[in-house]
Order: sequence, then structure tokens, then C-alpha cells
Amino acid sequence: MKMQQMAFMLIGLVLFFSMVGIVYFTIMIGGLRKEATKLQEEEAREISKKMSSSPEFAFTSKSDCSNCIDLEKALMIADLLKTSQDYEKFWNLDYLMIERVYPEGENVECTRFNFPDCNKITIIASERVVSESPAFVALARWDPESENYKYELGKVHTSARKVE
Amino acid sequence: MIEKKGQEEMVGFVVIMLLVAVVFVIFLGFYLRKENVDQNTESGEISQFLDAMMEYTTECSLNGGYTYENVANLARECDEGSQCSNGKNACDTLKETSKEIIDSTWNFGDQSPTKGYNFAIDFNTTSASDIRLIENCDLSGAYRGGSKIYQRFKFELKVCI
Repeated sequence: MKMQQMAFMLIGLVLFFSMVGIVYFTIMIGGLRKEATKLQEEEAREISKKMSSSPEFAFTSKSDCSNCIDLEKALMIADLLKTSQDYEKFWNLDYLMIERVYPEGENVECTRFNFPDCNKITIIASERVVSESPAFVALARWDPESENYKYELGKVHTSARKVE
Repeated sequence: MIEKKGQEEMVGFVVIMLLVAVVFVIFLGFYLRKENVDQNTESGEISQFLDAMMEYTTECSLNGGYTYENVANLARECDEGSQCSNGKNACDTLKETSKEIIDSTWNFGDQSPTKGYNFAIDFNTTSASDIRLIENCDLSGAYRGGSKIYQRFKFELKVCI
């Protein structure tokens, strides 16, 4: 009889602490998701910082915007990647796109023929849906109307290569 | 006398479980309240947005259209009371441009994750009055904020979530 009582008590204890454990891990995992989102945002900011200081994208024509991305360089790199595999794995990214956010412009992909009447340059395309992390950047381009460089607001959309 | 030790043990067990449950709920309450307090966070995304926004070329020229000022320089010109070549006041151009950029970039609305914003440029001088833009954001709820310092001016944006 006593053994039965002991057994019931033990089962009750195990069930109770399992429920406590489930609730605790649910809360912990919720915190982990927030942490993962924060890390993703930081990663996107680091990538955009890296890009705006890399020779491939850095705006070097004038010294007054050291963190700007040169849109004309970006367009040339996008063109280059269409014909050459050299830079495909250089940034270790699954997806890389530069979007002009303000002023908005035509919602079309930029080419040499419609630039600057366009608003995005896709450098590395991805066929599958990716979880992208955007980061704000300043975009620089030559404006023939004012005969000066113009700086606009843009976003860099990236998605890191997933481990398979 | 019928022995009721098994029942006594069960009652004791239930009391212990209730005590542990109460302690757990109190702990959970403190933990969740701490999370709510942490909702007004510094956002790197907003700081980066302000960084990029300060480089934006405005429509204000001080030399008849030869060069145009960016937002950061326009703040300095606003502080000095300058007038743009198109006749508009530098401060008015700065305020309008800031509003347009923020409204276009962030998708504000009741159904959107971002409800409104509170933008301010503090000049820290007596020569120019601070610029304030507030849309649907009273800062009593949760918000994400960021700030950037340029010379002695402080650009601050808080986005209500």
C-alpha cells in the first residue's frame, strides 16, 4: 500500500516538474528569438558597413561622404556578376540588393539604360524566399542636371548563406 | 481508528505544490514586468537611418544652385538663420525635408508595426528654436529610438511600436 502511495506521489512530482520545465523553456525560447532577431539586425548593419567601406562599393569621388555607397559602381558590379562568376562567392551572401528608398523613383530594376530612373540594383539574386536583413545606407550618384554629386537614402538588403 | 496517513501525505503534497506554484507565478510576474520595462530600447536601425538621412541632398542651395546642402549642413545653416537661394528659410526646408523622408521611409499606420514617430533636432543654442515633428506618438507606450550628434546638434528619432 505504501509503495503504491509512494509511486503515485513520484508520478505526480514528475508530472508537476515537467510542466514547470515546459513553461520555463517556452519563456527561454521566446527570449532566444528576440536575441536572434537582434543578432540578425546587427549582422545586416555590419554587412552594410563593410560594403560601404569596401573598394567595390565605396564612394571615393568626393571626401564628404565616407560611408556612402557609389550607385554607379554597384550597377557595374551587378552587370559584371551577370557575365562572370568571379565575385559570386566573394561576399558569402545568398542575396544582395540595393534599394533607393527616398526619393522613391520608378519601381524597376536598374540597368545602364534606365539609370537613374529606377530604384533597385540586384547584385546577387536568389530564387528561393530568403529571410533578409535590411540596413539603411546613403547612396551617391552623379546628377547631370545639377552637375554635382547627389546623395540619397537607400537600403541594403542581404541574406547570409544558410548552412546546409 | 482508520489510519489516514496516505490522505495526510497527499494533502501535504498538494500544499507543497501550491506553494511552489505561487512562488513560480510571482517570479514570472517580475520577469514579465522587467521585459515590459525594457521595451523602450535603443535601436541601431534608427541610428543608421539618421546617419544616412543626414547625408541626403536637400533642395536648399546657398550659392544660387552651384551646390546643394545636405541635411546635416542644413541644420547648421538653420542655426545661423540662413536663407536658401529659392527664398525659403533653411529651417523650414530642413523641417519639410525631414518630414518627407521619415514619412516615405517608414510605413506608419494603426495596422502597421510602427504607429507613429517623434522626431527632434536639438540645436542647443538660443539662435534657432528646436525642430519637433510628432505624428501619433506620445512616448507613454513602447517605442524604439536612436540619436545622432552632428557638431553641437542632436538628431533624435523615436518610433512608436
